[in-house]
Amino acid sequence: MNDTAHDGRTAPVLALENLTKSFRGKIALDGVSFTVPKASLTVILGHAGAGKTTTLRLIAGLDQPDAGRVLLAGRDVAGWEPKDRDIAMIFDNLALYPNKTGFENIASPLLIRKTPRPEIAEKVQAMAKVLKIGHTLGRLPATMSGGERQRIALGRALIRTPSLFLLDEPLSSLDAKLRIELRAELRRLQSEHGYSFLMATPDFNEALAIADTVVMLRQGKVVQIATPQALYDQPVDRETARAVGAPLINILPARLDPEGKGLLISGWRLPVPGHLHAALAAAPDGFELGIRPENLGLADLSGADLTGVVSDIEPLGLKSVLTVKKGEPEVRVLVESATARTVAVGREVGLCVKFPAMLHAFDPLSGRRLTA
Amino acid sequence: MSIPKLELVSLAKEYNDGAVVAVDGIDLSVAPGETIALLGPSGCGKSTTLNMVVGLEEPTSGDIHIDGLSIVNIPPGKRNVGLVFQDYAVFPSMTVRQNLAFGLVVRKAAKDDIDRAVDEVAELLGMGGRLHVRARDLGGSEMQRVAIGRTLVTKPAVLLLDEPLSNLEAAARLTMRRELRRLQSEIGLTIIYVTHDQIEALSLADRIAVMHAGKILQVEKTSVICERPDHVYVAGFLGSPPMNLLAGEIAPGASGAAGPAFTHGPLTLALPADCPLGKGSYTLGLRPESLRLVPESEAPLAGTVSLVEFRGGDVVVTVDVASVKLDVILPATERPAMGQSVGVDFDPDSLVFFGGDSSRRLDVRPMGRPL
Amino acid sequence: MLSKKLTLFQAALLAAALAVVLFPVFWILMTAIKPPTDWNASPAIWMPSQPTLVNFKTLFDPDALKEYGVGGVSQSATKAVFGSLLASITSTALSVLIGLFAAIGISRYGAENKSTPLVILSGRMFPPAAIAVPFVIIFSNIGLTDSYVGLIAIYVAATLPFSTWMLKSFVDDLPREIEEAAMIDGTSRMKAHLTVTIPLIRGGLFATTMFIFILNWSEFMFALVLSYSNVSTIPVQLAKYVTATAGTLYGVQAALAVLAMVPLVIVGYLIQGHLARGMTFGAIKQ
Repeated sequence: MNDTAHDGRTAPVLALENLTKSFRGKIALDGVSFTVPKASLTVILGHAGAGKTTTLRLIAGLDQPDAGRVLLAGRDVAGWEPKDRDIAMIFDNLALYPNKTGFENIASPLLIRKTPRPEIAEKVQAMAKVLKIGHTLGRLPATMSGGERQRIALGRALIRTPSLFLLDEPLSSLDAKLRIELRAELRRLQSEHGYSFLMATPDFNEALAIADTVVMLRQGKVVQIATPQALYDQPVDRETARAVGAPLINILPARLDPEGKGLLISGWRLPVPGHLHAALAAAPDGFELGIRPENLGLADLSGADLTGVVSDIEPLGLKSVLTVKKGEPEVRVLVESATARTVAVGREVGLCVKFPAMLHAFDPLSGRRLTA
Repeated sequence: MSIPKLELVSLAKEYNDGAVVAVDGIDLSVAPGETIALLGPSGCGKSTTLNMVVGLEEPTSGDIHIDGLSIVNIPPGKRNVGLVFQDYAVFPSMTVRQNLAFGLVVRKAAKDDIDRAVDEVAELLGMGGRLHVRARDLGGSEMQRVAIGRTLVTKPAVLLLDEPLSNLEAAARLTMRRELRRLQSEIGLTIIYVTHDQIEALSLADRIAVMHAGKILQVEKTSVICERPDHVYVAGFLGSPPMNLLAGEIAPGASGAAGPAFTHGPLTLALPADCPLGKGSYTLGLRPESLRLVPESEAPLAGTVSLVEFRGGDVVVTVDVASVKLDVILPATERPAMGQSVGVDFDPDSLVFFGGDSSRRLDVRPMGRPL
Repeated sequence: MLSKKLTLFQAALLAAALAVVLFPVFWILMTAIKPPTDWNASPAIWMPSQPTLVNFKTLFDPDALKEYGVGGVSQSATKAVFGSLLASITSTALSVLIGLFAAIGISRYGAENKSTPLVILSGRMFPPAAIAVPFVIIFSNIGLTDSYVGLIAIYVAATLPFSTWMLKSFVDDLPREIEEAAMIDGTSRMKAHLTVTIPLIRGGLFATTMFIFILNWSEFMFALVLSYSNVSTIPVQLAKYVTATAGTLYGVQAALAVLAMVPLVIVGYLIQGHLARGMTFGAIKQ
């Protein structure tokens, strides 16, 4: 097991430099660069087709890049076969050997490397205990449940303790509940043993929940690299703000009041938040205002920042999402369900901004977030 | 009181001569125009129930009524039930129009009737301008709409959807949810969703039936079910994250204690003197929303932070208290550090008790503050 | 479950189709045990009143038919049987082996497009009759006529498109991630294909082998034009059972045909268990 080294000069486990790859003329990756430090959990977040799987396959050596370098522990591994790269991978379709038992699946990396039998048996049993799949070891994958198969795939990847683990959407087709349990399990395993994980997922909830660092990938390019908190609070552009967070962030076209009395959103008026003064002064043509639904709350009509009519109420358990409209612009507001029950569709309500410092402004053309 | 649109009466399905019980005698009554969700994990029997309503599987016992008439002996094609598959089952080489028309063409309807029905449904689904497009060139949510449209065209009595949103990307899911809710209110169809995702169920259905191991554990209005789970399993299934559940005993407290104590393994919780529950086994439920972190000295429970999951607006903190894991929801600004020693306090009004044997929720009036 | 019971009409239809398909087999079986007097009888005799095994004996002892007054059978069928076995087994083995690696190569490492099927199958688009004579000319120039080497070479070339195509579809069905998992686990690329890919398409491999075997076993045209004295196969031998005096020896032909059916029935029976679908079920999430 690797000890976490706190020496600042430790080479990162993985460094990608300008990775580029096309398939049949279509660009899959366009100059992707990022690093994965030792003993950390990095998540590649992106929609389907963003290039997540391609990136992992290039790191693993299953495909070759058109340009750029893959450096594992500081060494350029161009041309190295997958088996020589000291990595493990979980595919999004698991790829268990269907004709081998759970035991044989987990043991296969050790069997291939001719580890002595007693050692194999010991390690597999220990792994099965941690993952709670001891009862499936003698069975074939076809007889196991989805969660059990997922954990067998995990066991096969973890049995060897290579320097880097690649996980391609390892939880994507599990039941909602099981997915949440297993992702916490993954996080626990990673932090307890100091593994280095690189995980790809389209689910921002997963990324926010367990990542140390999130690499946001869009159409083959790296858009932002940040901690989950920074990604959420300081998204680099409008698309990133939309991609991360539910309910969806409200994006409203707005402009500065020429008379200097705040900012206008077609009938609504808000005071200009302090942190946006400078940035907005430099954007005379108007901008887009981003307000997260949890940043709005119901208020008395008299003292409210905004007023409007409730057009939709979507219950989500203990919280509900209200859609409030005033003519054209509409906003979604996250409230407690008990509060939602005090209003009805068609009723006029007042809204206030809870944290003006959390408002964002975006350039309407490029989508970039405007900062001072 | 009108006849229920769909009624399941002691419906059961067994395999291997009773060795495997997929559906264990369930009863359900769906009112006309209502939307209900069958919610449960894989293997709970919800898909088998769906298959029996559609006619792809025969019940072992029990009955299914649509508009008061039993449909168990009617072949699937003639039951007037519409099913939208999880993977859409849209014909890729046909155009949208051909796909939508399919059900009526098979029934040999008149051409004018077919065209009218197709145009109507296309309009309803916002696909009016895409009728000529081949299905394989459509995006995910468009295909979803065509799949739904194909069943709507035949004007079914009941519409069944199997995990309708699971194949869509996060952003598409949000828009489809709104679409489906709009469709529900515009057409007034009776709709049944089968899903394992509570968010889907909560946002789309009027009522939710939670299924587990072939049984329906609770059927309740969506707006109420999260606040009043009736069964231990339901309490542990609904919610993000779900209620913390501790199975244990209530017994008279240690000497000097004012009231009884609840023990779960090494964990002991002092209950107020006016606790109306007698000795016995119970499951205690603690809502993550009603727990808070306080300095250790002031808390009835103490432990270490073992996991912090950031969610954007808030964080879910898992605290290990004497080998028990408790989830606590806190605003993101209050997030603690990993490994930090903290105290956990709770609001006594929020304690929920379930019977040890019955697993059913017990109505316990609010109690005084714990010591 | 949807009802699987047949209606009377459906059952009658199926019985009729079965009768049509099985009739030639029935006829051949009956003809094989008919004495020479029944061969050309008109109206046709369905079942011989005095069944005999003389036809079978004649296959290996050409004079056995003299008992019925038929002479002039030139040779025994033994050489043809051995020739067929040699040519068919060798060419099938070679064709499947080459096709297997071609299939893996195209499926996993090839850039496929719409013309890929055309390219693979084009080799089979020439009717044997059209190219038989040119082949004889070429082969006689290089001395391959009347040799098993030449015959096997042609059989391999003729069936390679089929073996490649069929095996490619089975390899396509197997998700490539399973071999890649083995490569990451520690095997080299080639070894991954040998130890993971090939075992997992076992069913398809057997089915393809049987199909190619049938093609080779029943091949007539090339065997005819390329065989003089050294080479002999069963289809060619069948054509030789024509005498000046008694005409075509239907009974003997039928007997040889029955014999020729035996390996096919055996192989077919062995294969059907291995054709079970779902070899990868459970390994892959849908």
